[in-house]
Amino acid sequence: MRQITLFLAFIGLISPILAQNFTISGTLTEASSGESIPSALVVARSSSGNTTATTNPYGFYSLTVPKGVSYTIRVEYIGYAPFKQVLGPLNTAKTLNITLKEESTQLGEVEVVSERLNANVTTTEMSVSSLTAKEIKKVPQLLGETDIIRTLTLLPGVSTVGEGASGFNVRGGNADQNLILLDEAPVYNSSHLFGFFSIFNADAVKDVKLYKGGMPAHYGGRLSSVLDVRQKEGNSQKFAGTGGIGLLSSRLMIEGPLVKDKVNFMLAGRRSYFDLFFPLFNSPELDNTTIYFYDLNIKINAKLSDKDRVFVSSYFGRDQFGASDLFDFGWGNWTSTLRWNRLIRPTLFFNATAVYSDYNYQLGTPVDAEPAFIWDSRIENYVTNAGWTWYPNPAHTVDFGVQNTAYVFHPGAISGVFSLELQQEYATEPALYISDDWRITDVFTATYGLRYSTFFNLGGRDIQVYRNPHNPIQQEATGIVPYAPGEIIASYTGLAGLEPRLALNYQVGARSALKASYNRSRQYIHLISNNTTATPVNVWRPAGQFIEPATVDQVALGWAQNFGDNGIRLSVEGYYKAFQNLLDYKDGADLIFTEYIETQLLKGAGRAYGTEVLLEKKRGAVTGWLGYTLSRTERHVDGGTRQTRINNGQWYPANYDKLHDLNLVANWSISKAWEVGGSFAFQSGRPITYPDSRAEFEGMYFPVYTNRNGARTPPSHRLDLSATYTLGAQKAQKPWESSFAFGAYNVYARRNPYSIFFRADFSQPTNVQAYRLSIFGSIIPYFTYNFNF
Amino acid sequence: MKTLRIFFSAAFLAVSGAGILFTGCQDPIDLTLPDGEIRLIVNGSVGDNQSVYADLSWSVNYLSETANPSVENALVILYENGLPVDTLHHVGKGHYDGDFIGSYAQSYHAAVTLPQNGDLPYGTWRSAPEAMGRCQTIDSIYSAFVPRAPFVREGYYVYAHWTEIAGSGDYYRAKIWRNDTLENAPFNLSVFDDGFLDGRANNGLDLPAIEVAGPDTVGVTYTLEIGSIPLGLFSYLQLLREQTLQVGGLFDAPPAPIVGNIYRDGNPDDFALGYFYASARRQAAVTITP
Repeated sequence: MRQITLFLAFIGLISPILAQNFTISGTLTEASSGESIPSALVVARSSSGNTTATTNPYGFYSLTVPKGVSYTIRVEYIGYAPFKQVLGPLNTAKTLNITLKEESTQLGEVEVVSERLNANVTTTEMSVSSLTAKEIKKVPQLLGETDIIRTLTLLPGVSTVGEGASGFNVRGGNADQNLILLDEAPVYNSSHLFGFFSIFNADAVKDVKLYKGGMPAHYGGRLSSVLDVRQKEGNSQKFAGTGGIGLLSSRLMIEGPLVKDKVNFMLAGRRSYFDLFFPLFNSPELDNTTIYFYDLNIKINAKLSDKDRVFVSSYFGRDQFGASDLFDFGWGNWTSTLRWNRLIRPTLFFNATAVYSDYNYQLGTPVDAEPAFIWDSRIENYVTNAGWTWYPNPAHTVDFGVQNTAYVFHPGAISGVFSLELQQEYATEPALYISDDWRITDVFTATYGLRYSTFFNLGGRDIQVYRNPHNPIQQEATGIVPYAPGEIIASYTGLAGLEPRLALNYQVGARSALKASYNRSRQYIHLISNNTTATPVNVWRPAGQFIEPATVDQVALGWAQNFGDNGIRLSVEGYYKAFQNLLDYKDGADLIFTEYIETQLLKGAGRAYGTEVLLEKKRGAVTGWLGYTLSRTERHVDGGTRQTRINNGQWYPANYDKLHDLNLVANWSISKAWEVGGSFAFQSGRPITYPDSRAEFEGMYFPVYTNRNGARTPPSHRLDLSATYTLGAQKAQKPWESSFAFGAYNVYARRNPYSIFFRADFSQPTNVQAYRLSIFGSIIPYFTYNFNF
Repeated sequence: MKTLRIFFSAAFLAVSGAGILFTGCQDPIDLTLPDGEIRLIVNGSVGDNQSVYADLSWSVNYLSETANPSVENALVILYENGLPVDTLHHVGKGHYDGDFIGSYAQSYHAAVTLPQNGDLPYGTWRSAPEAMGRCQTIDSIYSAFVPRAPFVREGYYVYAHWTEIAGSGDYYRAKIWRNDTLENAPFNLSVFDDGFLDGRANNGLDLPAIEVAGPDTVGVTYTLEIGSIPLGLFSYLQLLREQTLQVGGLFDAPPAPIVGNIYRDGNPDDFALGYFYASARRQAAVTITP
C-alpha cells in the first residue's frame, strides 16, 4: 500500500496543467532505409524560446507547446544533414514524421552544420557510451571480425581480464553484472570461440548503447551495466544488402520492403569456416573434427496503422566443437522478441514486449558413440514488459511500466552411460518502474525515478537444510525439505527492492555541463564461476534460501565540455560504487554439477572507484577518441572463520583491477577511396596470485598460496592498424559497392602477459620455472572483402 | 571463379598461420619470490592392512632447489576414537613409523608436538578425526592389445574390473605402480567418488572397465591400488592436482591455499600443511603378456 501511495504521489508531483497546449509528435527516420533514429534531439523554436524532445528507442518524439505560435522544427543528429521546417500558428495536434538524409563526409566537401551538436551537455545522461555500427566498423579488429564488445573495451570504464577473455567488466563489476539485451531480449553468453569474438553481427546491428551508471529506471536486474543492442529494422524503401568475406567467417545481410512502407524485413547470417580447411591437413584425427560458429538474425516490422507498429525479431547463434567420435561440445543463444508500439495519443506512447531467451550447452560424446554421454544445461527466460512514455507538458517526459521475468534454470542433466539430473529451479522477478525527465529550467534538468523489484524462488524442488543456514556446509546438512510446484521457497520483497535512480544536469554556458547521478541496482541471478574468465559451461543460479540478491549503490559526478563546432567533446567522470552480497567461492570449490551449490559459496562486499576521461572527435576527416581510466576495484570476504575468509578478511584487489587504462582510437579518411585507422591500448598489470612457499604431500611438491591477488602481471599494450580501399569510389551511384579492408592486430608483436604461472619438472620436482602466458604471440594480419548493394 | 579460388587459398594460408599464431605462447621468465611464513607439514596415514606412519617437514620458498627440511624431534601420537593407541618413532629423514593397524568405520587422528627450536614454530598440532571408509576388493586385472584408432595409440593396455559398494558417500584414490615404481607426479593423482557409479561394476558390461595404463610393452608389471579416502582428502587432492597442473590458463580458477585437516591446538586459524587420514586399501597386479 505504501508503494502505491508513493507511486500516486510521484504522479501527482509531475502532473501538469495541460490546457492551452497542443502537441507536435511523430517519428524520426533515416531517408535511405526508413530505419528509426533513437536519441535524437528535436527542437521546436519559437519567439518565446525553445522546446526540446529526445526521440525514444523507437524513434518517436512528442513536443507539447503553447497554441497560436509559429514554430521552426529543427533536428540535428551526427552523420545526418540538419532538418528544418517552419510550422505556422497551429491550434490542433500536429503529426510530423521527419526523415533525415545522410550527410556526406567525403574529403574535400565542406560540412554544413547549422546547429550546435550539443546533446551531450543538455541531457541528464551520463556514464553512457553510444556507438553506431558504422563507428564500430572503423576500429581495427582481430582477424577483421567487427566486434562490438571488443570495441566497447576501448572506452573508459570498460575492460576485460585479459586478451581473449570472455565478457567484459564495467566499473569494477563482474562479467555477470552486465545486462546484455538484443532487441530487449537478455543474452547470457555474448561470446563466440570461448571469448575471442562477440555474437553480434555488426551488419545486423543498428546501434549500441552501454550504460555504465545512471541507468534509466526501466532497466534492472544487473548491477554494473546495461548493453542495449538494437537490430536493424530493415530497409522500408528498397532491397539492399551488406556482406563480407573474411579470414575467419563470411556474412551476408539482406533487407527490404515486403510491402512498401508497410512491412519490411532484415535477415542476416554469419558462419566461420575454420573446419572447412581440415581435410587439407590429411590427418585422420581432423577428418571428423568440427570447429565453427554461426549466427542468424531476423527482424520483421509491420506498420499496422499510423498508430500501431509490430516488430518480430529473433537471433539464433551457436558454437560447435567436435572431435571424431570422442566428443561434441556446443553452446548457443536463442532469443525472440515480439514488440508492439502504439501511439495512444500524441502525448502517450505505449510499448509492449514479449521475449523468450534461451542459453544452453551440450557436452558429451556423439549420439552414436559407445559409451554415449550427454550433458545438457540451459537457462530460459520469459520476459513480458508493458511501458508507457507520457509527454504531459514541455518540461516533463514520464516513463512508467511493469515488467516480469520468469526464469527456468536447468543446471545440468546427464544421460547415456550415466543418468543424473540436477533439480530444475524456477523463479520470477516482477518489477514496476517510473521516472520523469524534468526540465526544471533552461539549464537545469533532472531525471529521477524509482524501480521496485521483487523476486520469488519457486518450487518444485527439494531444498537441503543445514545446522547453520548462514554457513551451509555439506557435512552439516540436517535434512531435505520438499517444495511443491509453484510453492514459494524464498522471496525477496519489501523496501529492499526499491531502486532509486537520479541524474542531474546543470548546463554551464552553451557547451558545458556539470552532471551527477546516483543509482541503486539489485541483481537476483548469479553466474557461478570461479574461473579467471567465464566459460561456456558456467551456470546461472537464482537467489534463494541461501543465495541473497546482490546490490550496488553508485554515485557519479561528471563534467561535459564541447569545443569548436561541438565536433570535439570532452567528458570527465568520477564514480564510487559499493557492492553488497557479492558471491565468492570457498577454496577449492567444486562448482561443476553440484546440486547444493550453496555449500561452495561465500558472500562478500566490494568497492570500486575511479575517474574516467573521454576526449572524442566526432566529425571531420579524422575521427576517434582518447580514453583514460584511473580506477581501483576491491573485494572483501570475511565470514568469520578461516574457511569463510579470503586473505584473512582483508580487502584485496579483484581479478580485473587495473589502475591505468588508456586507449587511443583514430580513423582518417584520406580520400574517397582510402581510409586508415589505428588503435592503441595500454593497461596496468592485473592482479595474480604467487605462491608463498612450497609444501609436500606423499612425495609430491605443491605450491602454497595464502595471499590472493597479492602480485601483478607486467603492463599490457598493443597497437592495431587497418586500411580500407573502396573500389570505384569516384563513381557517384553504384548498384554494387565493395571495399577491401586489411590490417594487423598486435602490430609490434607484443606478448602481453595474461598470467604468470609455474611449472615443475616432474622428474626433478624441485626444479621449478616461471612462465608468462600470452594469448597472442605475434602480429596477426587480416583482410576482408566487404560489399553492399 | 579463379578469383574466388585464389581468395580461399590465401585465406587458408592466412588462417593456418593465424591458427599457429593464435595459440597462446608460454615464455620462461626470471622471477624472485619472497619467503613466506614457515609452516609444519604433516603427511600420514593409517590403513586396514598397513601400519600407521607420518612424514614431517618444513615448508620452504617455492623456488627453492633443495628438498623440504625434515622434522626429526617430534612426538607423534595416533588416536583411535579419541584414545591414544600408538606412539610413532622416528626412523630417519622426518619419517615416523608405528605398529598400529586400523579398522573400518573407526575414527583416527594424530597429534604432533614440537619442542621450541630457534625461530621455528613449536607446540602441538592435531589432525581432525577421520573415519576409515570401505573399499571393495579388485575383481580382476588383465592386459589386452588395442589397435590404432583416432586419438588412440596402438599397443597393450592394462584394465581392471572393480565393483563399487552400494550406498552413496564413498570416496577413493587410485595409485599405480609400474614395475614397483609409484607413478607419483601430480598428473597421476586420481581420485573419484561414487556419485556416478554407486554400487555399479566397472566390468565392461555395466560400466567400462578401468583403464589402468597403456600402451606399454610386454613384460611390464602394473599394480593398481584403490583405497578409500575421506571427503576432506578427496577435496584436498583435487585442489592439489588443480593447483599444480591447471594454473595460469584462460579458464583456470585463481589459486587458493591447499589446507588439509591439521590445526594448532586451540587455534583453528593456524594450520599445518599436509593431511593425516585413514584408508582401506586394495591391490591387484598383472604383467603384460602377448
